[in-house]
Amino acid sequence: MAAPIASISDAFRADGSASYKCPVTGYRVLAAVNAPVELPARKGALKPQEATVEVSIRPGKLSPSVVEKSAESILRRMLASVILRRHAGYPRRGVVITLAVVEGEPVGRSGTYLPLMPALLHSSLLALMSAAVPLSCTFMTLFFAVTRSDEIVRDPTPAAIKDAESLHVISFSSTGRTLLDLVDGPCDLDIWATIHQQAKDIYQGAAVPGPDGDISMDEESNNAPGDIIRETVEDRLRRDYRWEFETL
Amino acid sequence: MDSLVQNANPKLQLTPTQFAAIEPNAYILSQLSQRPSSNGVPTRANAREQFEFRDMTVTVGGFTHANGSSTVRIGDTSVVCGIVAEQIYTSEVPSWDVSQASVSANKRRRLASSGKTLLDNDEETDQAYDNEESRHIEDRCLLVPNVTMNTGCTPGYVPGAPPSEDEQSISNNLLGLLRSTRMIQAEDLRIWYQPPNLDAGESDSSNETQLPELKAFWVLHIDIMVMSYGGNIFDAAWTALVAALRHVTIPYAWWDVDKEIVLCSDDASKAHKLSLREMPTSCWFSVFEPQPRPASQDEVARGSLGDGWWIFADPDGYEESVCEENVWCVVSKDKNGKTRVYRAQNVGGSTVDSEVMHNLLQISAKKWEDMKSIIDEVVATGSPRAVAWKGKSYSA
Repeated sequence: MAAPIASISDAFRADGSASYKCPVTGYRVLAAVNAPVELPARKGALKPQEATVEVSIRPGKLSPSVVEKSAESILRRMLASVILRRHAGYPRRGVVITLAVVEGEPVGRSGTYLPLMPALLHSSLLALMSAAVPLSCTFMTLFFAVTRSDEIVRDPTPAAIKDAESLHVISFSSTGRTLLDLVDGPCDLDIWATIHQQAKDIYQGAAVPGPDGDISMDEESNNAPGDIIRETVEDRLRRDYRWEFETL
Repeated sequence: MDSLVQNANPKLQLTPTQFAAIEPNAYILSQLSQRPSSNGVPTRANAREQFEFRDMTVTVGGFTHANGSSTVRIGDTSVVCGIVAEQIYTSEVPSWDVSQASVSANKRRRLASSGKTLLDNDEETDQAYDNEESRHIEDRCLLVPNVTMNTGCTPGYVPGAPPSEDEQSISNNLLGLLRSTRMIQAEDLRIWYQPPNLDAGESDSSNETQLPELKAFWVLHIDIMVMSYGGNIFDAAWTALVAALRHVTIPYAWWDVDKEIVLCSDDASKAHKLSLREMPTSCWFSVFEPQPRPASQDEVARGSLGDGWWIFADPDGYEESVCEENVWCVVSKDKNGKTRVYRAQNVGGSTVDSEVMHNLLQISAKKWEDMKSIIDEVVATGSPRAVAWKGKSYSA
C-alpha cells in the first residue's frame, strides 16, 4: 500500500494551505484556510461567544451540488468540534475552509462522499495547522469497505468501492476519542463492531491480522495515517528553520 | 443555579421560560439533575426520559391527486409527503442503449415462461440484474426526493431565501438512503412493450417468444413539506417517505403501438403497489454536554469531560439548538432477527465512542419493530385514518 503524499503551506494568499493525495483512491485535495476573518453578520448564523466555521467543497469536474452541501455539513460539524472556537481572538469571527478536489473520480448525484472523507479531513487538518488555528487535538481518519462476501478491506481501491456493500469512515482524535463515525450501506451489526475493533487496533498501533490470519510485516502498510500528518509538518518545519538548524 | 435566582431581588426573579431562553445549558442541566422520574431515571426538560421518543401520528392518503401521500406528526414536528409518478420515455433518454435493458428483458421472459412474476423471487436475483437495476434508478434519476421548509415552520426560516443547508442535506440524505437500502425495485418503475409474435406458427421458432421492449420509466417525485419544525426533521421526513411509498399506487400503463405513446388504465384493480424490499427506521439522537467547549489548549489539557454528558433520543427543537454532537442511525432487522445498519453517523463531538454507538444502534433496532407495525397498520387501513403511537422509552 502506497503512503499518501502531502505538503503544507503551498498557497501564498491563504492564511494556511495544504495538499493531500491519497494514492489508493486517487483523490487529491487542495485545502485553504482563512482564519480568523470577519464574516458578514447574518441573523442566527453567528454565535457571539464562538467562531463560526464554514466549509466549502469545490468538486473538480462538476459544479457544486446538493451532494457537496451534505458533505460540507458533516465536515463543518466535525472540524468545529476540533477547532477551539472560544480561543482569544476567535469569537464572532469566522474560520473559512475551502477544499478543492483536484484529482479523482467526481461524485455524482446520489453518490457518496465517504471515499473522499479521509483526503478532505487530512488536508483540512494540515491547512488548519498551517494557518495556526488553535486546535484541541489532531485526528486521523480510517476508511474501510465491506465486500459482498463480508470481507473487510482497509483503504479500498475505486473498483472495490464501487462493488462494496458498505463503506465506513472512522476518525480518532489524538486524545483517543472517536470524532467521526460514518457508515453508508447495509452491513450487519457484528461486522460493524469488528470494523470498529480493527480501527481501534490500527489507531493504537497494534498489528492487525490480515484476512488469512497473518500479520503483515510490511512496514508501510502498518503505518497509521496519523504519521503522515506529523511527518509533513516536521518536513515543513525543518525546511523553514533550516537556517537555524545549520547554524547550530 | 436556583438558589442564585431566589436570593436575587424579587423584582429581578426569572421565570422558568426566561431562564430557559437565557441559559439553555444550565436550564437543561438543572432539569436533568433535579427531576428524577418515578424509577429514578433523570428526566429531560420536556419531561421525557433520555431514550424516550415522542408520540407519533401517521396518516396516509390525505391527497387525492398524488399517487401516494402521508402526514407524520412527531411532537411539534409535522411533515407532509406527496409522491407523484410521471413517465419518461426511453426514446427521450439521451444515449439510451437498447442493450441496456437486455438483462432484465431476458429475465422477464425466463420468468414468464416459468409462470412466476419478477417480484416474487428474491432468491434468484443474480448480480448482473441487481447492478443493472440500481443503475437504472440512479442513472435515469427515477427518484427525486425534495424537502421544503414552509414559511412559518420555524422562526429561523427566512422567506424567499434559497434552500438552506438543512433542506439540501436532508434531501440528499433521503436520496442516498433510497440508494443504499435499494428499497424500490426498478421493475416497478418500468413500462414494457411485448411485440406480438407475427410469424407464430409459420416457422419452427414459434415457441420462442419475442423479447419485450422497455418503452418508458415511471419517475417518482417525492416532495416533503415541513409544516412545523419541532426538531428531528429527518426522522419525520423518512417516516413520511416510507409511509407514502407504501401507499403509492401506480396505474397500469402500456405502450400503444399505433399512437406511439404510453397509455394508462383508469381501472383501479389493474394498478399496482410498489413492492419495497426493506423498511429501515431512522433514529436521531443528540448529545448534551453542559460544559462549554474549551477555549484554550490549557483547558483541553485539564480536561472538561468530567461533568458528564447525556444522550437525548428524538430531540425537540430546543434541545437541538443546544446540542452540537448528533448521532443518526438507520437500521432494520432481517428475517433472522439480525440487525442491519444502513446509515450511521456520529459527528460534532468526541463523547460517543463505539460502545455507546453500538447501544444506540440496538435501541434503533428496537424502535424499528414498533415503527414497522405502525406503518403496516396505517397502510392496511387504506382510507385516510391516523394511527397514533404513544411515545415510549427504550433501553439497549
